[in-house]
Amino acid sequence: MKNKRFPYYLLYIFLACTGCTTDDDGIGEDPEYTLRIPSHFPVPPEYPDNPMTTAGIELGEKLFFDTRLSGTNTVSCGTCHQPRLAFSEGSRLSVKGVSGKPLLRHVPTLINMAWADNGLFWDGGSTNLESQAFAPLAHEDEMFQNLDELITELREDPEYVSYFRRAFDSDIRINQVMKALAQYQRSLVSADSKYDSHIENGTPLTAIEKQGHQLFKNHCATCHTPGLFTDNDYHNNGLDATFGDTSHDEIYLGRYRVTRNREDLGKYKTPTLRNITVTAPYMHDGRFADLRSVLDFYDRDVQDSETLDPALKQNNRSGIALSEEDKSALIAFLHTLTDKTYVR
Amino acid sequence: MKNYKLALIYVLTVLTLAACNSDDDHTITGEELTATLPGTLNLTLDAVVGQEDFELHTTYDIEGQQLNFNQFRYWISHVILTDTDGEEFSIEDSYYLMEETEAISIQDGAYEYPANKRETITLTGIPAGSYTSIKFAVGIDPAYNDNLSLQAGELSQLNGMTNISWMWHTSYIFASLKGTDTGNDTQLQLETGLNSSYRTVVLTLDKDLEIGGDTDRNLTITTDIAGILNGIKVTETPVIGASTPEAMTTMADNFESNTFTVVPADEE
Repeated sequence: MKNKRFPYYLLYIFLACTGCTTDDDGIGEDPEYTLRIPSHFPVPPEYPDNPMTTAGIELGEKLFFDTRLSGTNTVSCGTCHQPRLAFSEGSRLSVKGVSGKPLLRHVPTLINMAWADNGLFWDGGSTNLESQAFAPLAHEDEMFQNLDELITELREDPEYVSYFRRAFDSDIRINQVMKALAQYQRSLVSADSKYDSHIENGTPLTAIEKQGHQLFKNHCATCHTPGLFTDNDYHNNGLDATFGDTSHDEIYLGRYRVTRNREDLGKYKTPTLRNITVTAPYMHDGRFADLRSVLDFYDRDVQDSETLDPALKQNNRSGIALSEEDKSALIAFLHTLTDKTYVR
Repeated sequence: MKNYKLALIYVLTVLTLAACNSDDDHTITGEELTATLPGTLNLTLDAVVGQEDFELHTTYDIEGQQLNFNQFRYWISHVILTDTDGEEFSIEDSYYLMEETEAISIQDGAYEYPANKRETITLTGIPAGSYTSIKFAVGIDPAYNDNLSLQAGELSQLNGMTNISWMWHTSYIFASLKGTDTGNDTQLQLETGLNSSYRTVVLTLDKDLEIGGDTDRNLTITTDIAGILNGIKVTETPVIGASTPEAMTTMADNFESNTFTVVPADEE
C-alpha cells in the first residue's frame, strides 16, 4: 500500500510551478549558460526575458550563418558580419544585401554585445538585439525576407525543429528566431588581446605601445572607455559641420532622427576600439580607410558645430593635437587590442 | 489520513491558483459569491466620422478636407474595468488590433495581409460585478514596444503594424490611417508610434454594467476619425510619423481625449 501512494505533493509542486507562467516561451533542457565576464569589464545588464542557454546560443549561431534567413536564400547575417573581420564587413558601404544596392551606413562590428545596453544601430534606433534583427531581415536592401515564409522554411527542416525544441521547448516561431540570434550575439566576448593580458597578468607592453597607451588615456578614453573601449553612448565627433541632408528618412542627421532632440544632431554611437585593426574602414559611413586617416582627422579636420562633443573642443581648438610620432604610438597601442582568438 | 492529504492538496491548489489571479485585490462579497461566475463582455469599437458610420473608400469632409481612406488600424491594449468599489480588473494579455482595411502589401510587397474588418473584441473571465468605467491604452507599452520578441495577446510582427523599416526604429506602429486627400489627390499616411505616443483612455459608462454569469454583455464605444484628426491639416502633413513629431503628438493626444465615446446602453 505504501508503495502505491501517489506523491500528491508533486502535483502541488507542479501546479505551483506552472500556474503562474506568463510568457509562453519555455526554456529548454539546459538553462545553464554562464557568460564570461572578464575581470576588468563592467557587470553586464541582465536579460530576464531572454536568458542565455547553451542550446539557445547554438541555435542562434546556426541561424546567424544560414542563408535561408534572406528572401533569396543567398545572404546570412554572417555575410556582412564576418567572424574573420570581428563581425564586420570590410567595405565602406556594403553591397552584399539582396538588392546589391549600397547600404546607407557602414556595417558595425559585433563585439561584446552583451554589454551593449544603450541602443543598437549607429543611432540607437533599436532598443535590444531581439527587436533589432527584424530590420536587416525585413529591409529590401539587406535580407528582404518574408517573415511568414521564413518560419515555413525553418519548420520544414527537422534539425531546426529539434533545435527550437531544445532551446525554447516549443514550436518554431519568429520571436524565438530573434531570441536565439540575440543569445548567440551576446555570447560573443572578446577579451583576449595583448592589452587584456597586460591588464590581467602584467604582460609588458613595448615602449611605443606604452607611449600610445598613455596618449590614449589622455585623449581617447573619455568616450572609448576601457575595458569595453566604448561608453555605449552617442557623440558628435566633428565629422561634419552642417546637417542639411534630410534624405532617406533623415539618416544623415545621426541620433536626432531617433530622439528628435536638436542636441543629438550628428551624434553616433561610439564604436568599440577592440579589434579595430581588422575592422577598417572607419566611422558610421566608413569614410576613413585606415587608422592613420582617422588620427589625421582628429588632429586636423574636426568640424565645429553646436553639437560637437566638448571633449573635442578644448584649448581653443577643435580636435586633438597629435604629432606624427603620437599617431604612430597610438596605432601601436591600438594593435594591442586585437584579439587573435576572436578574429578567425 | 488519505482524505486529510487530499484536502490539503485541494487547499494548496486553490491557494496556488488564487495567487496567480491578477485580480488579487478584488474582494468577493458573499452576495457575489452566490450570484455568480465570471462573465463575458463584447466590446465594440465602432469607427465613425462625426455622426456618420465609417466606411472605406468613402469621401468624408473632415476639417474642410475631403478625405477618403483605405486603411484604419490601431492597437488597443491593457484593458481595465473598474467596478463600483473602485476595484480594477485587468484583462490579461490584452493586446488587440482593431482594423478596417483593404488588403495590405507587407514588407514592400513581400506578402499580402488580407482585407479585414474587426471592431469587436470578446473579453472573458471578468469577475462578476457591477462596472462603472473602462480604461485602455492606444498603442503598446514600452516594455513590449521596445522588445518585438516578447509575445502577448495579438502582438505580431507579421501584420504590417511594426516599424521594422519605418525609420529603422524597430517597434510597433500604434495607429495607422491611410488613404487620399481627394481635394489635392495626395496620398495620406497618418501614423503614431514610439513610446512617446502611448496614451491611456479612461471612459465612464453612462450606467453601471452588470457582468457575470452566462449572459454576455455588450458595450459599444465609437472611435471618431474626425476626432483623431482634430487640428491636423493634411495638406501640411500628408505623412505623419516619427519625422513629424508635432503632428504625431497631436494625433496621439486626440486618441486620448477626442476620439472615443461610450454609446449609452439604451441606444445600442
